[in-house]
Amino acid sequence: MSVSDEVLIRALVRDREKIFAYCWAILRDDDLAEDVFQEVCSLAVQKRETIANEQHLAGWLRLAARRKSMEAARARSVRAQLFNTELLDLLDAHWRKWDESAPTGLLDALRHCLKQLNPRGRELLAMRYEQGLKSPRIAEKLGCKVPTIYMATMRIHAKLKECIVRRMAIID
Amino acid sequence: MDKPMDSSSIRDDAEFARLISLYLDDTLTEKDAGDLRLILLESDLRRAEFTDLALTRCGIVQVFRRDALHAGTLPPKDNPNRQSTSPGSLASWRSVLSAMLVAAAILILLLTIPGRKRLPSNDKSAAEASMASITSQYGAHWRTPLSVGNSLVAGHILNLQSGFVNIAFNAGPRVIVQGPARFSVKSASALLLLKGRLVARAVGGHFTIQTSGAVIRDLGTWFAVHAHRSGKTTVGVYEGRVRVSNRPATGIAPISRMLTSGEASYVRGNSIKPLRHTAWEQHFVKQVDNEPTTLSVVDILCGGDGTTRQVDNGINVATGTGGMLPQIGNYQSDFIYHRLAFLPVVDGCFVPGGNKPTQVDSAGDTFVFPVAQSNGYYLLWAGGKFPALKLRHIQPVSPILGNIDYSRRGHSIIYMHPNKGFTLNLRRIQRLHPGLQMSQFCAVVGDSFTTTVKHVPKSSTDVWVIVDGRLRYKKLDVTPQDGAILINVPLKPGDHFLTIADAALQRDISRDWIILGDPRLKLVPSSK
Repeated sequence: MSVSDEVLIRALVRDREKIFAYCWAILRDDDLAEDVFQEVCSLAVQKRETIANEQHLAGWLRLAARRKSMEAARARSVRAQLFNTELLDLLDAHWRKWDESAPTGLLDALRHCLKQLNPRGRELLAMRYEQGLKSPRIAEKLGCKVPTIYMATMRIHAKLKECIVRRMAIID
Repeated sequence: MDKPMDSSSIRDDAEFARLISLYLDDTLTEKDAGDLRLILLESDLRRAEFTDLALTRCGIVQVFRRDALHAGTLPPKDNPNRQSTSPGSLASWRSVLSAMLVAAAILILLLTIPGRKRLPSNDKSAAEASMASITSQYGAHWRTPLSVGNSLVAGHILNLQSGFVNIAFNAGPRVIVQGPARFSVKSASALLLLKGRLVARAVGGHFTIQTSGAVIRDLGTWFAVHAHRSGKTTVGVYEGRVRVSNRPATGIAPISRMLTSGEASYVRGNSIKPLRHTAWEQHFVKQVDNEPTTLSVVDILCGGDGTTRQVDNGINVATGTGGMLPQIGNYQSDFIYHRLAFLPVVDGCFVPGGNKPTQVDSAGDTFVFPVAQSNGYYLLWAGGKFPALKLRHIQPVSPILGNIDYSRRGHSIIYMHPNKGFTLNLRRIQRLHPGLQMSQFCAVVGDSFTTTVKHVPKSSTDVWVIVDGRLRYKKLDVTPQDGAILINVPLKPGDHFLTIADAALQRDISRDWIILGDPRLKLVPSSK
């Protein structure tokens, strides 16, 4: 018994953001993470016969993403390596929690929560994630100290996460 | 989530915030990475915060990019602080496109896995998603395997690691992509080239190629595009016309240039500048097939790939300079082998002689030309009419040999007044013609000197064809009375450097008008 094409496609589409984020967390490179995600999709299609069911598939995808990402990180070892096996194992528990708490609609919830942010918070996120600026440049543009940007970034992310969880609970 | 976010813990730990921000900025040092790893290993709360942050970060990037796409605006690209990995970069923009179409891509993957059960042929989504297909490929290695006949869907980023692939777009254009390349089919008449080289042919025009810094609109033509890693884009036109525009930041009008046959330009930031005498054709593969063909050595010496019929290029063999140079008089050898950086597939040039080993290729191979002379006259001139020195009593070298004028249309000529040598890099030439291998060098050689004076001193020149430093052909004492002499040198698959040289024994070489007529390299289908 193996997962059907339909289940496989649905899982890949549904979990795309989470698998991509998992790859990015290891690689810190959107381009490379995209490549690895595509590779994982391709591998899943090829190995479909060996995947027993949907539960097996979720774990299988995470493991494949981890292996492929680590391979890619090793091949392009220009960045300081953050992860080792022990840390990845520990972090997997938290990734699984996201699987359980936010099976679908993550981006919709996030879009809603971004609208709830104050203008300065949105501006900071736009500078970082839309314009690709780094913390010192953002600080320069906003006329504040770099540590302030560090703290503000963390605070905004924490708010967004709390908002997403609340939003998902309401939708459920 | 069963663990509530503890915002106060973040506020309390400025160090964690610093490390996380450096992680997001991608500026972690080894020490910072070690410190962050330690914190994450020790604290379950920090690990939860870390995964939350990674997920929300990627989600925010996706949302921003999708919003930008829906609004029809592209991310600004003139930010000097931007790096290729920044979320606002084109890479991220592509990832959003790919995300939107991932379902279609997976469907196509399912359809193309050999031996897999095919979905019903009336599946409209797959058919609608397919914008182009692979018609042939040569030595192609893909990151995600693809083969001939595979359909290509819009938005799916394709990584061709090496080799060549022929793609037919549903709207008619044909494209040869040359690995390594990253690209994406945008529609049945548009392609996004992120990195690498391609050659496109679109009868009737209306084909568009985008790179990170340029938009190339085809107006019925055959053209080549190179998207450099640096963001620069090179465009060259074989036939017809293309309009090249840059992609400025939002709100600034793009600038455009029209390029016609034989012209090339590069686009960098807000400038579009012409490329002259750069042999851009020698960087592109124009066709991928295994039809036997012949390449013109004259075209190669003029910057072409052997098929573009270019003429008129001079090379000063004593200095290694070239282009549309003014004619020179006497030169003296410096006994140095000169590389020709402006002609990628021509290895170098030299002055043979001096009765000592002369380096004949960049691999260091040498050959002893048994002549004492180490000087000569004139440029080595490829194609067309010989540019004579504008001095009285100086006759231009005749292009006529055996009653054939090799400067006329349909023929080609290299003027090699004695004591000149040049070397072709056969492997580089072959790379421009995948599926084929060199089988032969052929030409006619002779001394085209003519005079009405009855008694002129006897003069003669030796002609040499050398492969990888070893003699393959020689014709000693070539005189005008010999007429046209056929050269036919078989080439083997492993041959690397082909050297052609001539050298005169006597000091007075003014009457040694050595020319090569129709010098060609024959190509046959590769045995691989």
